[in-house]
Amino acid sequence: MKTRFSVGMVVALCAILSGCGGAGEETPDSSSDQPLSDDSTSSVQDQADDSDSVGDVGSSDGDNSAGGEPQPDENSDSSTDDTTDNQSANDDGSVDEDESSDQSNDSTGSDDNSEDEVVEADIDAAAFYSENIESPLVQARCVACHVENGLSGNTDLVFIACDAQATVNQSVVEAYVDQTQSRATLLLNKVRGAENHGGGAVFPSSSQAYQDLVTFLALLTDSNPASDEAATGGFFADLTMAGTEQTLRRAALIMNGRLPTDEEVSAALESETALRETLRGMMTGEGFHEFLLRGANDRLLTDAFLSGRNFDIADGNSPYYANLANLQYTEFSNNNQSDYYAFRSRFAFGLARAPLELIAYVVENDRPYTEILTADYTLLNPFTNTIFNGGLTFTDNEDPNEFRVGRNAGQIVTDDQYSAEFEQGLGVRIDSQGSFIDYPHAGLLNEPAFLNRFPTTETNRNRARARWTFYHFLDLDIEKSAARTTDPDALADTDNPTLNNPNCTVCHEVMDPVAGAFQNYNDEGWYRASWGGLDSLPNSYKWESGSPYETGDTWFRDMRVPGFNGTDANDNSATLQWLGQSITSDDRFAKASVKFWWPALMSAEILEIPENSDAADFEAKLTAFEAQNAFIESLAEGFRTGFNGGQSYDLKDLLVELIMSDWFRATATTEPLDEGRTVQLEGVGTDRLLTPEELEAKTRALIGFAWGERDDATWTIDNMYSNLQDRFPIYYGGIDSDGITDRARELNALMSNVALAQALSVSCPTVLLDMNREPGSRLLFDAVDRNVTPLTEFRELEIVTGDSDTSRSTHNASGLLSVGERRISLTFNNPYYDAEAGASSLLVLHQVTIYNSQNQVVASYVGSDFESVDGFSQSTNQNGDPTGLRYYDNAVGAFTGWFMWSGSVELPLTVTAEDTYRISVDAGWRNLPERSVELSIAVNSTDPNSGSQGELQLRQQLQSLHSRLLGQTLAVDSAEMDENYNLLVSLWQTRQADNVPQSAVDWSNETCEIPIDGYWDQDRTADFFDPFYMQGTWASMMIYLLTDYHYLHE
Amino acid sequence: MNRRDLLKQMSLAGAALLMPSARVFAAPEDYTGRFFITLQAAGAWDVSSFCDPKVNQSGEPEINAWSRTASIQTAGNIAYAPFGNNAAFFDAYYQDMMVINGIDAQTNSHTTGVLHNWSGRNSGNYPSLTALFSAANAPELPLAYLNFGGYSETANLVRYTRLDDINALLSVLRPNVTPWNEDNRYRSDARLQQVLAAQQARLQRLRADSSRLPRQEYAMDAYYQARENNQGLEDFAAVIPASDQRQTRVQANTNVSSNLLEQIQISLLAMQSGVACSADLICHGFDTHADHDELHGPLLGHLTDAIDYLWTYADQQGIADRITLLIASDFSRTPFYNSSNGKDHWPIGSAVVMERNAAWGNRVVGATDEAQNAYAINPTTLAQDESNGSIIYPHHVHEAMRRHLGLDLESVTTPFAFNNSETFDLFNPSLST
Repeated sequence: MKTRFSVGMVVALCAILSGCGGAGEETPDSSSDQPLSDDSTSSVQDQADDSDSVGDVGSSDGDNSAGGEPQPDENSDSSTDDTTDNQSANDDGSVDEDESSDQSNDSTGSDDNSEDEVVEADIDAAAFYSENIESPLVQARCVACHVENGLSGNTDLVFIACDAQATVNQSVVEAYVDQTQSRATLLLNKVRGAENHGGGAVFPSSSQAYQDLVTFLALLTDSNPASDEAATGGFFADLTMAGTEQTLRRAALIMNGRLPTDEEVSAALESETALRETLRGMMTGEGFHEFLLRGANDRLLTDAFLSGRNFDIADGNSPYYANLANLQYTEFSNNNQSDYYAFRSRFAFGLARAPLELIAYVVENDRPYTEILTADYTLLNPFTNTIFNGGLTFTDNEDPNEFRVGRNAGQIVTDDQYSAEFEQGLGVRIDSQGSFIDYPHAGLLNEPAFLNRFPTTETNRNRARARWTFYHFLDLDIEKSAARTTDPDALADTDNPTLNNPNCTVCHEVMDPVAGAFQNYNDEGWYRASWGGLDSLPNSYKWESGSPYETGDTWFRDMRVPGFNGTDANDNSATLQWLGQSITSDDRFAKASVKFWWPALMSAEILEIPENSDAADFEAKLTAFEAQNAFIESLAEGFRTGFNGGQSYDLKDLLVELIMSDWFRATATTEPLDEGRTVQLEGVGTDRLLTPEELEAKTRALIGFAWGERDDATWTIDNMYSNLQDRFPIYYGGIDSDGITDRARELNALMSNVALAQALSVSCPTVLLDMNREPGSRLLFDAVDRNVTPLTEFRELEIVTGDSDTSRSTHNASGLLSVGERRISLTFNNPYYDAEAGASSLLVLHQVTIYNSQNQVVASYVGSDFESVDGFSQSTNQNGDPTGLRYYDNAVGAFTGWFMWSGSVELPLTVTAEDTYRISVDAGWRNLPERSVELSIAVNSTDPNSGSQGELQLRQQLQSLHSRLLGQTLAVDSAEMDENYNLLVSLWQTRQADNVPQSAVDWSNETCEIPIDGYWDQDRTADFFDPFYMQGTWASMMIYLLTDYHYLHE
Repeated sequence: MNRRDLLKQMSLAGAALLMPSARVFAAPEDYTGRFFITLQAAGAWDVSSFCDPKVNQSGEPEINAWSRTASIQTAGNIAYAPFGNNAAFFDAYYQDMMVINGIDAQTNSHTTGVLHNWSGRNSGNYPSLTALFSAANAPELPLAYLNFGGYSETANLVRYTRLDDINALLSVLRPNVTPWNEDNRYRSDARLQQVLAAQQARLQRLRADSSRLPRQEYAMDAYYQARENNQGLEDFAAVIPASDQRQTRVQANTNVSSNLLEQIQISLLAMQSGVACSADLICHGFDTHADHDELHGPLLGHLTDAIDYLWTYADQQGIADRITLLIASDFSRTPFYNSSNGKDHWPIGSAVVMERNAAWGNRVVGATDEAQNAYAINPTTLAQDESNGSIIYPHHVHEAMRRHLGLDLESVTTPFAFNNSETFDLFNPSLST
């Protein structure tokens, strides 16, 4: 394999090359026969020769170091000369010379003591530089770029690589700093990555190397050039972190679309190690799979093809996927266009999703993450399997979401064996063809969706593909790595500027070899699409007049040869496979992987280095960047070598570390934040807005169904449809991976309306379905049923069996009561009107007797005399008419009780001594024998804030709902609970005041969408019974909870 | 004091009690500025039968069948082809339009052509002109940037609202109204208001927590303000006509069912009600590789009829004077027919810019020869100039449009500069080609 030196490669390697491997010497991957190496060596010498004074100073200082004390005058002169010469070289010598003279004069004019101090400082500076700066900083990091002919050879800092150059290089720094604090600060900022430092962050301010540089610069400038905010230890020192349960909950909802199980919570609570293990154990199942697809797509954006983006390579009018072309031709010929389009859409789905499924497969099967770029396989669904001759079998051949490992053996090339006819309206009829090619899989790099999502043109020549390859997998944003030139001459340069003009080569030297590695894929992503399958070069290049093309070429001769990082690729048929191996062998791949997955969990973009040091928030942003960058670096190292002794490149382990981090878990501040700290902490910690997909999964997990979800949507790829994923994803801040590629991080008016629309739609069925589940199987209402009101002291629900005056049934309810006024409430719980029979069920109350614990009668009321009881009341219907009357029994010929066709009656009860009381009711039913009659016997308080049993249960229920829905722990007697409880009471009271029917739904003003097929085909009357208005009240309360800030954020 | 001023005052008053965070989510001001609309003729239109008319040349393949019996027409200073409903369109609007001919898209690929013509750059990642406009002028509007399809890259400057389903939009604008019956509510309005009031109070309590992290502060502030601002959505919903009074799809030709009229109506209503400032409209079906004349003629007629409707309806809404309309396509079609009587892809195309009573109207800039090859144009004089001129490329058009719309001075535009070597003074009313 041939190796070339590349100046351009250094742009990405400034931070990692070390030793004398700059422009002046060979690096381990450079060879001695490279002309640039020789040039560079001579250039270093030239620089030394040209810079006489520098050379002199170097000799002088060297001598001093070796043999004796420097003389103050010599040193002073040397400094002056040094500064002058270097600044002259930088074209501003006259000004600096004057300044230097002034400074020199000032120094000369100082008193002896101060002069001694300066001399002392100079001595210390030289020694300090030699010991602490030259080798670990300048030689280890800076000379990778800051040498003549190096990438930063045209800056004010040009060092000499190799040993024994400390004095020269020290003078370079001194000239740069020019004894000014601002220049020293500028240098420090650049070391931290700011001020448009092309080499990015070299050392964080917390590092020893940085602190040494601060010390040295302080000696030079007699000041402290470091900002107050730099090097602050403990970036999260003033914050509190989420505990185990909250962390587990957030991770489960974001990563799995569900709540953690009780077993997982119990296990995780044991220790932080146990939490780690639990988190890793949760990384399985459909929810995790969706998380992986979603997280990967948020970066690669290949789902754009599912949003209508033109997917050229999935077009059956092209001949290269011969099976697809033939299928189209056949189906169209048979007038089966709809069948073909149905197949094609699922084929395109498989093709579009393959890169994401590949990533998910690698992660879920604990394979090294490097395989995403090196896999010699792809993921096929039943439809791509058919077109690609995959030979796989599937559980469901009609399920486009079933993916299995396979290979693409479905492409042909057009050659002598190829014969076809294009028929308008039908497509390509392939009459003969050569053999199918063995597609040279290179992970996702040559997945058709990746190639199509980042397309190229005949003039772009795969550069966009290279740019995104660097961005996603090598942590290098080429477009930001160097400023685009605005030099008119450079822009007008027509002499192949990307190869020759330094304004252009700064980026293209890095980018273009990788663009060349994509040489076998044309604009649309076809492998070797030219005649004979020889190459993918455009005809406009091959056959234009004067083209340098020669038969057998696979890449442009007027571009750099395919390669990576200074090394040429040597197998033109499989350069992407080689590139994938090369990238994953590069240290930057690990850091890029951390950055790739960061937004999926943090819901925030990676911080960028601030550029403008004049901005008010510069220091704060730089500090935040440093802290994050240092953490990412540490994660990258762990990812490369394996976390906690685990295997290397294990993405699950990386995700665990991200979740365990302070960046994910920070949840509150212990002291007020000033402006700078506020800037630093943007995007940190809990309360990230859930995406449409995450919110839908959370809702499904909590209430049992998703908004508008159905599985019979024949118009979708997989028959699945839901409102948040299919109808309103963009309105709710989601992405379509095409025009909108960035998720909304905060709610706006339209989004808040979507959240409200969801809550309005699902609240009623949530309450109705759950209230009608058996206790113990309910999802949410575990502390109350529909009969518990804010006034309830105790209540029993009885089936009335007495069917005549002589066959009364007796029903009891008992409970402890404190001293005070109460109301006995007797309710016909399930009134029913039979329209066919023209009759209603009737409940007849004959006698009510109250006993104390000694079985003594405390009070007694006869049904036929209820109206004469002081304090008796009864409910009215929507028309204001009473819901009961005295009952005249024809069989007896007398008033024997009180009959009710709906509603309640209430009787007074004065408790004079705390005791357990029993309410005994003699009752019977009439009219509809097939309908059982339910009687509710309750004792109620007269004040919803009396501390009744009902109030306590309702507060407990609210507590449970806050915990499950909002992840909030609320004490039953807290102020926030009071607010919630008071709202519930208010909703209950207004619902009663509205005099709505005793039904969960007031159909004249409300509706209820039940998400169960065939629900309305059954008699569901009982589900809607709401004798105490609590189902309807809870439905309103649920809107409040499902639009709560903490429901929408985790 | 109008409603939004009142809302703003109320929200600020409420916020003041809570010592709001440094980041203020203000209620949007009433938008009083210009509206910008693009109309994308998707598939590549045939400008030789529209605004860059070409007649058949002796001894050359036939360019246009209409040329057998008719000649090029003019309306004011603008030449047009006697095809479709061109005559009515150009006669009515020639004073309101500038035609830019001879734009070289440098591609025959739809994907690249759309990218190049609508972003000004052929390598991606530049925002649409519409995105730039809305980001610069009124990004805080609830529906600042409307899009019905076509090129819509936002470069994350602003979010667009894709209005391909008006009923879906209405469901969000009026969340308590059931989709199947406008008279039905999920909850009674009174109960819903009770809940929403309690929820705002709850948010106020949450915002009073001094231990919040910045992300929590922003998120809570944003949610609180979102609820305060959603009255504008109801205003928009209120002016959307019932489905039986809305514009509907029309059969533009035998192949194309177009909802362009509905797009126009909804966009203009959104603008009129102050929730939107820009829109991308699209009309599909111009990719006529077969039976070109039979398909293209009616479709062009539909397009021009729709533009007429746009201006007429905008007049009715009282916003016509505030609209800038840019009409263009992927590129153009060959100046000859293929064996299926169709026309294939041709990179040299045109664009039309319209405003009411434009000082720069009634002009044609740029030019092509009789075979629809672009002439070099002098950027300063706009005259043909083979020695000192340049072919007009999409970035030239975009650069001129940016200046015309005042976007060149906006910071949002800075990262998306074109490396132009020349600037065409396209909107200078005293110049033409």
